[in-house]
Amino acid sequence: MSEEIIHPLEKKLKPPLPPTMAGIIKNEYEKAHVPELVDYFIEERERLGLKGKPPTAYSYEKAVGEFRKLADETEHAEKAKKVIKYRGEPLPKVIPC
Amino acid sequence: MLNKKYALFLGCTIAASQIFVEKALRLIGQKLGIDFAEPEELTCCPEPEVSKTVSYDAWIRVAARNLSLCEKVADKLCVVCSGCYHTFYKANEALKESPELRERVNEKLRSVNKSYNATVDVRNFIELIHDDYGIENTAKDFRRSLKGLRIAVHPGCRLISAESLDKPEKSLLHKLDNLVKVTGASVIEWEGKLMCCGIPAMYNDPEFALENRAKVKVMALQKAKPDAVVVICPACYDMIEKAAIASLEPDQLFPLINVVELIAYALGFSADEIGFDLHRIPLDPFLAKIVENK
Repeated sequence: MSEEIIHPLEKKLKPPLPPTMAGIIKNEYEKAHVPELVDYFIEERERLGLKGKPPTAYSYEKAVGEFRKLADETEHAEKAKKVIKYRGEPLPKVIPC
Repeated sequence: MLNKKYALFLGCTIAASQIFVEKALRLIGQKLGIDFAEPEELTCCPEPEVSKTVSYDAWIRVAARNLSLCEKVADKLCVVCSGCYHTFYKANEALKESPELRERVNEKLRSVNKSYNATVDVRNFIELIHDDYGIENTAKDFRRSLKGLRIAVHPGCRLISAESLDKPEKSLLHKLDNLVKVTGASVIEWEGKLMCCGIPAMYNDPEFALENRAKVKVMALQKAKPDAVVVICPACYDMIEKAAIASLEPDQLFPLINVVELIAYALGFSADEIGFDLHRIPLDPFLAKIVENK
């Protein structure tokens, strides 16, 4: 089996941004986490005896602000802001950023 | 003498949906006396496949911020998720090796009142159990034997790529197999064991990722007919679970479990305590084959 098959690609992204990456970039910039912590799992966490919300950016808005501050003036923030503009609308096949 | 204090970084997916892994990890900590110190205000690691390719600067700054929070509570960091492990291991090595990069990153970190001295030792959960606590020591506390079970291990490409680091102590592939074997189970060989689950390709070509990776892997697993498939990476878990449910009949599905849960179960914790009922693919056929060691 060749390395090409077993290793993920790690090259700098060239525009445009694939829509499949858009959600990750947007969520990281807005929430400082990729998946949202939904009510179902908050309840299930409590049922298992875990804290409903872990003490991360899921609980601390300050952490989200610090993520944004570190990402600002980079392509991460630039692309996230362009994706955020599509809020509520279906994403186009090509996101020009 | 083992210093049993570790900063704990769970990552997004385990905390948000694979909570049985978090619960199993905390139970293991209690049982083995490992002190998992959880720094507050951690964020996404950030995710390596997307964030790192979009902006290396943002990726390493945020990784360094998380590492700086961990540095305040312990000199070692325990990571389960292979994506988070990749981010922290690679970022940490880069920051340790280059004082110039560290200063550049710290200049930004100072804007959020933080700095990172690059003193943290990033440890995978596999290393914590296999090397730090000791695989034999862990086995002494087992209360169940998984003897007779045939396990297919899916290491995932992050562990495979760690093989190329030219650091034998960072070779995690055989250590993951060893963690399964020490429970009494046998590790079976199967076609496609070293193939990527497809998740990194999802971001560029979802059809290729599903059809040429995840489904190929699922079909190979179905052919091997293991009693369970063991993974370490939450992303691989998601991908294999989705592909299995989408492409197999319910009676063809194979139980899928994280090695952290496997160790917790061997240590004697119950299915209810760990949260096995939250698995979308039921673990009942796997549990039914386990002989209780009373």
